[in-house]
Amino acid sequence: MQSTLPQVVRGVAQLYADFPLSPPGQFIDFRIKLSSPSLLRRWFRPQVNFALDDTRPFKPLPIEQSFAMFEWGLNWVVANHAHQFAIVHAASVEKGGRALILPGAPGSGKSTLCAALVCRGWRLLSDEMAMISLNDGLIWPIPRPISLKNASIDIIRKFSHEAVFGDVVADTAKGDIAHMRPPKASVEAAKSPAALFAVVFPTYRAGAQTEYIEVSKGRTLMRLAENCFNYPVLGAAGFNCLADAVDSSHCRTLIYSDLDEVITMLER
Amino acid sequence: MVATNALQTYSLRSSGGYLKRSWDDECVVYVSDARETHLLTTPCAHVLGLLEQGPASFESLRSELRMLVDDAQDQEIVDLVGEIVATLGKIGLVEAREDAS
Repeated sequence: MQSTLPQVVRGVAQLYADFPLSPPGQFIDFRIKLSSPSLLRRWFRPQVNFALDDTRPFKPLPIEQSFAMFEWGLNWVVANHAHQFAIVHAASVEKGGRALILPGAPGSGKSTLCAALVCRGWRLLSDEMAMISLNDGLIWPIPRPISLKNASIDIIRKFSHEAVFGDVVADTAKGDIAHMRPPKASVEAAKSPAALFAVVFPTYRAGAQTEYIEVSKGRTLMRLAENCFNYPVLGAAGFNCLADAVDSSHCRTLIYSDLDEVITMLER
Repeated sequence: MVATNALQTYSLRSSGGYLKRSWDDECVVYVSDARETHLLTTPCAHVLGLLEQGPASFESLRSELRMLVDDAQDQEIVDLVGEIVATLGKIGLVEAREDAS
């Protein structure tokens, strides 16, 4: 990844501090560059461009959103290329050898719950993409910074004073965004996959009692397929992968409002 | 579209294929040609299972479903079979032919 934009440099230094640098000569999967579109745009409503190799798949964004654009762009790159996995739009965490996948639409509370679990000692596998290996069904980690939006930022700041955040960027398409640094232990375990234990569909609902309800495997499979970024590409292999995942796991919906309560319940 | 007619015989489509997973009373199919995934109702899954064993007439499907749904009126069963074969035809799993007899 290449950039001289201060927002990107600062974000990487803060949030990727525990990631190892590749040694010289190692194969590089994706070459990414974040830069200003033109000399003029450095001064007049400055913007940032995201480039993968020599292509620019997105329109420019305001320069303040540079680090967020890096994260979103990298999500897109992985989702469009890593087809040795079924890539589900989900957070995923692990404890005691048991991985949970938390699929959900934006605003469902999956990242908030993921961040809270991670602050309480769960291993972060991913905030945004559950990578299910087509080969063996294991969940492979991609423990990048956790993206939090709007009220969730303060919720997690209060939940854990040790949590490290990057800059809060206002007025993005998703509202205010900030990224939480992944735990060092999660980064160091990035080459250790985990076996799937449960698929849990979370929904945050203010003031709600915690409810943890079984959902049928058929409906779980349908929802995983709907939430799988590369399902149209994978075809039958994707269907079999997700069906195997459902077959071997507990399937639940989760309604929650109290993070401590829901974590205690999930740890039982 | 698969027409429903008491003189018709139904069978799995000769081209394409599908994958199926079943749990309890649920069945999910992946239709290869269309690259679509569908959650089938229990009666749909039951009819698909019957057709996997070989072609079946409308009448034989009606008799089988009658045994499953014993508190329904005869016309309701006829309508149900019609809906099921139409649904399975629409998603690309079943085709119909006129019964020669």
